[in-house]
Amino acid sequence: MVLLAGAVLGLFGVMLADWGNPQNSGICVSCFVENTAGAVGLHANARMQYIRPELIGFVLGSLVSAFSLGEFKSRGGSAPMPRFLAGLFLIVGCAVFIGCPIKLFLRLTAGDLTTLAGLAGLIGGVVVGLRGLAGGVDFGRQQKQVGTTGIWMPAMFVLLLVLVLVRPGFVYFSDRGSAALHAPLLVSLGAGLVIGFLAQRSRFCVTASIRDLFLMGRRAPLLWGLLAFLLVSVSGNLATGSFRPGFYGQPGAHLDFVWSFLGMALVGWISVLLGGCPFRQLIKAGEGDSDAGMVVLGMLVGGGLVQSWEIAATAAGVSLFGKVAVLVGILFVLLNTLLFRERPAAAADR
Amino acid sequence: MRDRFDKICLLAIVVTLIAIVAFASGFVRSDKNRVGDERGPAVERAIQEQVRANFLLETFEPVEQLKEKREYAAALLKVQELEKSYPGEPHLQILRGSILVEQGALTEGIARYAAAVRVNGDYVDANSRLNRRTEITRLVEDSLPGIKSSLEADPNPTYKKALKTLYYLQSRLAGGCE
Repeated sequence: MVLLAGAVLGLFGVMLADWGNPQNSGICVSCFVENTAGAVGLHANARMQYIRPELIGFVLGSLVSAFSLGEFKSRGGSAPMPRFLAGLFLIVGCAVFIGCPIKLFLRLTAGDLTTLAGLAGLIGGVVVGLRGLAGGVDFGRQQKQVGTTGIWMPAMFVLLLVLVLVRPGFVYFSDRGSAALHAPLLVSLGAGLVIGFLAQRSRFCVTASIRDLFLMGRRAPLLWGLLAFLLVSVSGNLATGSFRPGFYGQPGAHLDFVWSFLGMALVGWISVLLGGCPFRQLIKAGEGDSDAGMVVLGMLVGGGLVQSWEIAATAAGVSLFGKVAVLVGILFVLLNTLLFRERPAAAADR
Repeated sequence: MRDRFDKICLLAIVVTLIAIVAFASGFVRSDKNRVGDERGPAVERAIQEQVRANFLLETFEPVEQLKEKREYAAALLKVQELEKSYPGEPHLQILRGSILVEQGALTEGIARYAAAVRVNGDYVDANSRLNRRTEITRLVEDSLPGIKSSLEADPNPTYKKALKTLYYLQSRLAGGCE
């Protein structure tokens, strides 16, 4: 199942770009979140506004999978506000790099060598995050929640589905720029549903694959999913003529390697603390996890802020605000590392 | 088994849902309560963008005409004059860049194009009325080999900067999500 999920993610990641999504952005959770935030009025960048149906598909596909196999469980209550802010900083890190961990690998498999700095950062962030977990950093245990708390995040995505279908006047849809580039709505939605379903079944997550590599070595099942994803996306990029190796002139890329490294390090670090990358948070939100739902809300607000406050990087490089935002994000994680650490002496007393 | 309280709640939910669908679908009109602009912000913005594009194309038309007549010095003077009224306007940067390139001031021309694209991505967008994609693509393709060989022959910071700027334009032309 993990192999299938990885392969399908790689296939749709390449094909959605071929079917109309921006180059190297067949699937990019952070770009899609920024587009969706803009569409509902959380930022005013007229080139980045579209409710991406893939996001809706991820959450609802996960919901269908979880319900059909009796795995839907309303749960939450673990440090909601830090999780909300962590979601916001996940998008900050991604926006400075230009892409989420999935897009990092899609860019890399299309020959974009500028992503190597981001890859090193992501791996570094995961390693630092793992050291934190080993040192006792934990946001606290989740609890089963009464009622159907977990249904509200999928319900919000049903509302987004209604908005993208009805297109009321208060929702913005870009007619130019990257958000104007998209695969046909039903194709995007269908791809999202399939990926969401498989990701819920398999627990596949790019960052968790790297995490498990350090924890379990080659025995980690998720690692094989990542390898399937890479193999299929390289093959797909070669087959569609999208493979153009090099450092220069790459779509949606910049040459500020230090900031690519730090942006992705922030994403890797936060992802380990939260138990998954932005994509995994959407999947967990679909299966009733309100904590992941808080992260998703933080991501949406972050999607608005990175555009409004000019935090997001462009091909020209990373802005001053982007650099400061990444450093603030690192400070945020460091503070939480101290605040949420269960020290050995305290654990022994209990 | 649901008690009376639950049944009342369920009934209220059904009634509220019907009301939402009725209002949202336009079946029930409540024009007398309307306080906003009926066109909606998205339509209003589209109109503003059309007006802006028309304004730019009309206002700077004299520069285009002088350029077509190959009166480059006069065209540059006109750009200079307009820059006093519209400081920082990226369209003027594009015009200045195109004149400079025609005059053979390649590195300065490239810098002007890039400055305009940084402020307004519409210049590399095929769907925009301000689209200059073909012109910029040709500029990048024609200049890149020359600037590279010039830099190899003479490691001048001007060539280095121009090459970096060309890579930026190349990246913008390649697309991506930004």
